[in-house]
Amino acid sequence: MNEEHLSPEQLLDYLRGELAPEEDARAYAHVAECATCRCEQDEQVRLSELLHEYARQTERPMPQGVVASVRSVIEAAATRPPFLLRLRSVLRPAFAVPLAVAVLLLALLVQPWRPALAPAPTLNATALLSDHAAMAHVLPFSQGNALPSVLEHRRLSRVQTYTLGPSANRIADASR
Amino acid sequence: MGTPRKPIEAPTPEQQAFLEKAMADYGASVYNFAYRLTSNEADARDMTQEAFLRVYRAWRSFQPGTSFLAWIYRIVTNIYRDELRRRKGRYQEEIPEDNAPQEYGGDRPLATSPIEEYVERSLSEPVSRALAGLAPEQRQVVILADIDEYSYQEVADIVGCSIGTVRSRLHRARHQLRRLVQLYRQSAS
Repeated sequence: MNEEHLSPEQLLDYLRGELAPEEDARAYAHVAECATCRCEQDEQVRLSELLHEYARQTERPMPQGVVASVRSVIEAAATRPPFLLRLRSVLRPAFAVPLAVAVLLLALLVQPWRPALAPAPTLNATALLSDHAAMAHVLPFSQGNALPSVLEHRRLSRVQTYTLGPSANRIADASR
Repeated sequence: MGTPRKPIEAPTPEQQAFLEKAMADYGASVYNFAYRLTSNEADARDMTQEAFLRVYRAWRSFQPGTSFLAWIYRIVTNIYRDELRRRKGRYQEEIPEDNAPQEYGGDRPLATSPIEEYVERSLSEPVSRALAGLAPEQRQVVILADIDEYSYQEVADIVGCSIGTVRSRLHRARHQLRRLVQLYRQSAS
């Protein structure tokens, strides 16, 4: 706290009783001795009195119209027809016929009974890329390089041709 | 005034009783608070009505044992803030011109004599005009802290800001009020 004078904020806090007990005691002691702070205190008190006087003079009861309008809003809500009744009013011919026409038009436009279109053909991009890599190699058929998928398939089928099944093995054993 | 956010439902007897008691006990305080904020009777009526409708809708959220007035003041403050935003910070103020008679609501009791009425008006008019001359957030703090005598903490809770902000707003507002009251008194004399 300023030893010389209380700041206007401190003085206001002091007058409102918002200071801590020690600060309040110090402010009390200072104001008792300091004519400048006492003068400022009087000004602040006068303003507070003026505001209270203004409040007292302009005090008025709540207009009855407010109470009545609050009640009428609530009563209107209480007497509101239930959901089914409101729905019935919507389904009168004046609303229902245009609504049915609109639904019919929408159905004709969308045609939900038509079968869905066949899915678009897809490409296996990975196979194409690996084929391209195999064909674009400097020595496409050298050992260790991957064969293009078409040739790989043929190679496998050829191997399958020459693979002996269990019965062939038995014939071979018997002839031996 | 802003339209209600939630639809009004049919009242239960407890809800109806809560609302009726709230309007009977706190109607005048709420209306006066709204009037001092807006300086306008029509807006004060609308704000009061909206505040009680919100009380009616949210009556279960009131914590028994806490201050009902602080709760409803907070509601009024929110309505006021929303309305200020909607109107871009300005209420149409009904501040009487110099020498123009100040008209109050029909429910207000008449002054006992013309002399009393004159004295009353001459005392309150400069303060009324000075209050209307403050920024809305300053006016709000002065009304709550000085007229309704709430503590900094209570004002901060109602307005929804920090104690430091309340303190600095109140100090600036009072400084401005002193200047304006002096100015209007001089111009009146």
